[in-house]
Amino acid sequence: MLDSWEVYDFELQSRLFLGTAQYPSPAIMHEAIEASGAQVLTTSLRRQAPNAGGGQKWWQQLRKLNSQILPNTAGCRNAKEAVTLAHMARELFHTNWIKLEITGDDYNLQPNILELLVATEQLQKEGFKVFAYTTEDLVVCKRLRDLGCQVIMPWGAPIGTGKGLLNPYALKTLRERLLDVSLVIDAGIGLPSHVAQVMELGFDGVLLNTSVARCDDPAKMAKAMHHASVAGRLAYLSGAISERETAVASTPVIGTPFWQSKEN
Amino acid sequence: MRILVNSEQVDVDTSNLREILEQLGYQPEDIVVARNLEFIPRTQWDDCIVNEQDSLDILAAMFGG
Repeated sequence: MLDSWEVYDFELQSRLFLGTAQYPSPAIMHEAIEASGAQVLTTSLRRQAPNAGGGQKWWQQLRKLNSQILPNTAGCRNAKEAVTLAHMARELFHTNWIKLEITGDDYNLQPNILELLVATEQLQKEGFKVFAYTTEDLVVCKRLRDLGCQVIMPWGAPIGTGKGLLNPYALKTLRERLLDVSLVIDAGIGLPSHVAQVMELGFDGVLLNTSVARCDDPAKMAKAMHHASVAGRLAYLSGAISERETAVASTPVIGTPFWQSKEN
Repeated sequence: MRILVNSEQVDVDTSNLREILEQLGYQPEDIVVARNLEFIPRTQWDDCIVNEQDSLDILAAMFGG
């Protein structure tokens, strides 16, 4: 049984957050959500044509899952856009949780940390519960924490790349230095081994989307990711051994058969 | 008058936001609205005046990562 954790006073058992984009069909998405065990699902807002109705129908189906909804501000380019979209998300999704994403570069979709800090400060003051999508920069993450952000989401690698953790050193440092916030890796995960690595480092959770939604069998991958999160978390809690440079026999040396004192 | 709805030019014959949304065929409970990049809460739609060439962003729930 995995230990539970709290996200803005909401108790979670699962360590996975799951995105709802890019699945081959709503039915496959639902299978993947169930297989993952994820209790937090991310959503977005997009322009709607009159009489389209599709978004609302999909949203009504998602609400039936009784999951915690985490709307994002994906696509926003500055703090003003993100703050406006956060207000719209709060009314539409009936939650003050917001995954704050502000794009700073079109090529690698790197977060604009300068605008992120501005938006975080404003939204925290307005009572939002900010989940800040950021880089692995320690100083930025400390500032987010100081602004009252309790969930910081550094990227593992650029969104959708599936490369895993490109900078494990910096992420390990983040965990060691920021013990009083929840750290959730967001973006760049491709494999269950990446999830296990994240959890072994002591991170509180992982947000997945592309790696599950775009693989050949999303439900199977979601299950694999779930197992990896459990394995990694248990490994972290177990207090793993430290690496060393030299071999140390695990089998007792005393009583080794055929051993002879070499006197010549 | 002519306004921008999700970046498209649209002709409407009222300046009241709620009436504009109804004219355009939107279901009020399905959407949220920003006028000129400012969020307009649903409770203010009845009193919100839209002017010529104002821009409306009308958004709905969508998949997201």
